[in-house]
Amino acid sequence: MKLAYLSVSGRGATDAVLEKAVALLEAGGMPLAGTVQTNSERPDRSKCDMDLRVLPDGPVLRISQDLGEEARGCRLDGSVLEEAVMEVMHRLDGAALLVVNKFGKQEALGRGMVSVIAEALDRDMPVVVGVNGLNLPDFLEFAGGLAERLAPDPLAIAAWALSDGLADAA
Amino acid sequence: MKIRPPISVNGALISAERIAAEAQHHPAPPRQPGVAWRAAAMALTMRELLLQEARRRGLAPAPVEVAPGLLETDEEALVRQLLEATIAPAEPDEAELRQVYERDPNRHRAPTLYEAAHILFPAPPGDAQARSAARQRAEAVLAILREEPHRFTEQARQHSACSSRDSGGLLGQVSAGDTVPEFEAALETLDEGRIGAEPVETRYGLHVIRLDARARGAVLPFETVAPRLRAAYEKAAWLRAARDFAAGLAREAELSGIDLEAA
Repeated sequence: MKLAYLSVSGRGATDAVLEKAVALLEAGGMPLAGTVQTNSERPDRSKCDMDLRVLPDGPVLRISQDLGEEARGCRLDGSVLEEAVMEVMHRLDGAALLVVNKFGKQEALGRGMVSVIAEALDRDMPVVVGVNGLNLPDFLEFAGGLAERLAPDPLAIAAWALSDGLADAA
Repeated sequence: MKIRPPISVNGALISAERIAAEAQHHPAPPRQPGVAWRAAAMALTMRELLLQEARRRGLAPAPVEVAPGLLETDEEALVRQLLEATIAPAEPDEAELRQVYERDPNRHRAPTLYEAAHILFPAPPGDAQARSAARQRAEAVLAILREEPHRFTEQARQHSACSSRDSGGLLGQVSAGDTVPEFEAALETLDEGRIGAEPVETRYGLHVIRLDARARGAVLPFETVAPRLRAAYEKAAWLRAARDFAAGLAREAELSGIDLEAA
């Protein structure tokens, strides 16, 4: 089982590291599955929009609900999250790495991307997950002590994902 | 605490402190530090090998903007450029793909359609107590249905935690990917018109399932399947090429302080 996570404090920091790692590996041709999040600032809103890009060629899904100008904070649209799960599941075949941008509240309850993570691990596919501090205890419990913590560095993730071949040199 | 030597990659040292920082230990749950250490050591070795190879090839870093305001570092650009330049997976030719197809055309079918109904007794994965209670409830309902199968609709309305209870547990037509794999696997084993003899366990809980009809998908012609076979071949070829590339770098390097073979 090859399960890793990164947890970086600071708004959007984990997303930025994952986005860079994914861009690097995609450019190198690695078949990827999963999601990365892009938080686009909107000039007409004081809050953020959250978009999920389904790798490698999937749709971009808006997971935040537009609650209007007076809204405080971002709200997740749970039905879109479930759609993302299905889209990822359909693209899992043959991927060399599953990237899950966030282990959040839904995942802590055993929903959302948990089924995809379990399926990928079942298939011996390496999995890297973004986890914020709030959900870290739930993630660690889910991982049962088997997750490695990666440095918040795109190269560390890329090297980790590519390091399987080293054993073949032995 | 075990004293570990630094790793040397062609003379460049990766200190024990750096590996320890990469394999950041966290307090709970109990883990196996040796596993984390080795994984971190392998990843750092890989990173060093990639950067050394990029420099050996004389690549000049050309960072690109990954997203607005998100620029690659020189080292990230070097590794990207190296992967772009070196990992060249084999392209499949048509004859090879046709061989794969003809080995077992039965594997390439349109999705089987099922018409099914179920009664869900929910229980979270890993909660043994809830699972056991759900199983007992499911078995009690199954005992009734064995004697009086016509009461399925009534039992679904009364017990099921799925929204399909309002229609007596009917799921309508279900095909591959509509539900979870373990549910589909159970549908595959049931006889048409019968209620499964045992409750079926999935990530959602325990299910009592009735299969009303099954329409097996037709074997798909090679032309339909070819794009999928090609994609699968290309992905597998990339993985092989990437592994070979990593192994090649390791073979040609002078490495010490790391045992590549250890499990």
